[in-house]
Amino acid sequence: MAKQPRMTLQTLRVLQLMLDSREGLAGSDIHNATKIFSGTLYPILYRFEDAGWLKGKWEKIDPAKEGRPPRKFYELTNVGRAQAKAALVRYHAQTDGATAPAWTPPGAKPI
Amino acid sequence: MIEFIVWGLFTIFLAPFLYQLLMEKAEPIANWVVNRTADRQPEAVREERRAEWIAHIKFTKGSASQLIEALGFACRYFIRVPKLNFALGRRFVVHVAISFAGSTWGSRTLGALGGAFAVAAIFRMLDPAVSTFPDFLQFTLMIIGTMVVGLVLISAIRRRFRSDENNVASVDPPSDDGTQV
Repeated sequence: MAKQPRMTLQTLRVLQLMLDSREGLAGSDIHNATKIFSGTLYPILYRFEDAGWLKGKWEKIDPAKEGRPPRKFYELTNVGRAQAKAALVRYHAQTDGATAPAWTPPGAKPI
Repeated sequence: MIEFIVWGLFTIFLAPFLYQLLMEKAEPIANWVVNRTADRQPEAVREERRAEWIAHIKFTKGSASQLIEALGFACRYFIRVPKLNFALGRRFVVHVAISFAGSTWGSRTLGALGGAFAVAAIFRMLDPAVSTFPDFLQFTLMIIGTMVVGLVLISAIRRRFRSDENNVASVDPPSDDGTQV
């Protein structure tokens, strides 16, 4: 089984956004919504993808015709959706909805 | 004096020009940075990440944001900021201190040497390509050489201006009560 991803406020924000979204989101969409910079955002996405929580899908377009490169959209898998919900519930239970510095699920290494 | 003139001209004319140029060419520059960063990725994911990051830059609004995002990729995946060589970092601080102390004391040699080693230390910290000692030495010598040439040029320009000032000294001497005639 893949390693559990670390949980931080940034990862929780990404998970919250993915849960709220009805369709797949590209990295730039997530950046625009959360303002998390690329150097932080993409390692989070790759960690979730490696853990099987997210599934990436390339859009099928003709770059020459569209005049832009194709984007990769991320969607939560069934496992990812369940884990994300559980992680957010645990976070809200621990912090009572207040902003906390960072949160680590049981068994994961602290940041 | 000449440094003030050079920096003044740079600030007034060159800096806004460079800024404008940077903003106009933000996307190609950002793409170049992303391509260089992608080149250092493992072969299995290299092309996929390159395509994904270039699309990210394309869909980022604003020239400054595009540059910042490209630098974000570079910081995380090219120079690997968390893995900086901190032993070299300490040495860098010492070199900068020597440079400042030398400049304040009036020793141009110490100022230049300290600065040159500091720049070399930065590059060695950030770029694994300059990781072996011969490379590092060669790199340091190159920077010292560049700085020496710069200092010689500045000295020559200073001398040229000083001799002009000396020529001006041939005006009439002040009168006995100290006022200029």
